[in-house]
Amino acid sequence: MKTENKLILEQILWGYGNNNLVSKPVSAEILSPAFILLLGANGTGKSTLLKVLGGLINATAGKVMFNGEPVNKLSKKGGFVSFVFASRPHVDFMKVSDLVMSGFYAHNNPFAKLSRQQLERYEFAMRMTGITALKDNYINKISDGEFQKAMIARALVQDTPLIILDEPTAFLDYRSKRELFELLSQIAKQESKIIFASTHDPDLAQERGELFWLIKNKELQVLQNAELGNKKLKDELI
Amino acid sequence: MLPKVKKHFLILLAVLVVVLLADLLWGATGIAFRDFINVLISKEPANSTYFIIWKYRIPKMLTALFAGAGLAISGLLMQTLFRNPLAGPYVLGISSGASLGVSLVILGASFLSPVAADFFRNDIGTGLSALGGTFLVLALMIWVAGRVGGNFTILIMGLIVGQILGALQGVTNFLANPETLKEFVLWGLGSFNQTNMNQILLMSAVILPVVLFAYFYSGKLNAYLLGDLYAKSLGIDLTKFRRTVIILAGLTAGIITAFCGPIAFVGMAVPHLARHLLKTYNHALLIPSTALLGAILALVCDLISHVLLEGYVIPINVISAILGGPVVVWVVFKQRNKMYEN
Repeated sequence: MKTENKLILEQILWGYGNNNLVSKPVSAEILSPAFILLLGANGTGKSTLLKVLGGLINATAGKVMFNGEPVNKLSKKGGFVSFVFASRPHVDFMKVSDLVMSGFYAHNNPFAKLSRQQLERYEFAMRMTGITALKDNYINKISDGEFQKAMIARALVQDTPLIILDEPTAFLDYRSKRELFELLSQIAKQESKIIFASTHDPDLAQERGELFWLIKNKELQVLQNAELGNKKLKDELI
Repeated sequence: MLPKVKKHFLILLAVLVVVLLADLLWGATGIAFRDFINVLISKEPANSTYFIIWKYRIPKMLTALFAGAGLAISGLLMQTLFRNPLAGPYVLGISSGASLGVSLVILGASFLSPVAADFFRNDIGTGLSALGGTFLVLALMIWVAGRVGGNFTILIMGLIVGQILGALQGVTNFLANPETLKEFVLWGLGSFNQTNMNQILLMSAVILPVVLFAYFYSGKLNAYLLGDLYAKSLGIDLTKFRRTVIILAGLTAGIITAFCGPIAFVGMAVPHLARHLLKTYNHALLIPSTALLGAILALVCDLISHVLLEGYVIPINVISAILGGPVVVWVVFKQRNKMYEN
């Protein structure tokens, strides 16, 4: 039985300086397993919120607790959250396998050999994201979509209780997008994780997601897929 | 370690031994290998060969060895810190700080009484003044690194500080008399043969621990390559990381510049050679190979500077720029191609 994880938002605001991106404080309690899709127009603060949840930046007010500890403290230790960002770093001579295995850094010293368990986790992540055949390619020579899959595999390898993905489907083809959402919701359930992903694809979100956070008019709205009924998620966004 | 990588290290070590020997035996006077061995095993300082080997060749060989390895490691650390292939040991204005320190002391000494002037202008005085200038710039950069968010700001600050210090140095050059100016210009051309054993010991006491520390820092350096946010999400304290790297790279570049002058291109070019030779991004492999290649390149430069023109020692920077320049040009072209690819 996997342990249960709990993420608590206590009256938080987020933004930069005095410029908050939400008008009133947000509180929420999230129990694992959870797969939450974050939607909202450009500039509504999705990325900022995701960074706050993962403890990379501080909330402008309130606090975020993960399993009873503040996330900005946890982030200093590493190992509780893995991120997939939309940007694409360039590193010469780094292979896809190196990139994915770099996820083990949080738990390991770089000179140690991978354990059998870790190797199995690595192979699982490569298989699930469909990039096993690319393992010896340099990351600078693969397509944007393939790179994104490699970063997702890296996050799976990190095996953290919280996974945060900022627009992970941006460069993926339609089939890969569907498979990714399927995979994330599956992983969340099987491994009792909390997974956040932002997306600009409401139709696909409604098809594959369960729980949605919408940022609209500087407010956060929480929606269950079951509650939507015949309504379209994309109509809620406008 | 992979067998292929092992082979590369063995080859590098073999080449290093060859150039070490060549640097000792080959020069204005050639020394037969048998005589060299005799000098090493005999204890009497009887002949001129003994004098040349112990008083001249061995110090300059050790200096080139440590300076080459240290500058290359310093350059690698700066390239990783700024994630920029054109960074080098001197991007933070360290050479400008050292140069200004030296020119201030050389100029100041020319106004003093001859006894006081001698005190400042001996080898220790030049070294100390360069170190003083280095530490001031380093302290400023560490302060900046603790206060600004991005490393791009640090890079710009470094370049600007370098420019300002360069301008101040223009003033000292303008005020200097021709003799002191020449003294300073010669220091700026770089040399491996102006060091005594104490200075070499001091250099090695800084460079060896830095290389070792950097080696055990490989995991963090690797993790940092993917970007600030990924590094931070792995639990790396970015401010502490930047400070550490600036201190490691800055101390190394500073101590070498103090005793050898600002050596061009080695620090910028060698890490690229190492990356392309081993085809790796991994610092656990890059750090030893960069140190080895840096030492080899510095020794080759030293060798060429001694044997190219009979009766003259050509300044190191002339040689290192001619050898290292094309490497940097190649990197720029490669970068340009990469930009078109994406």
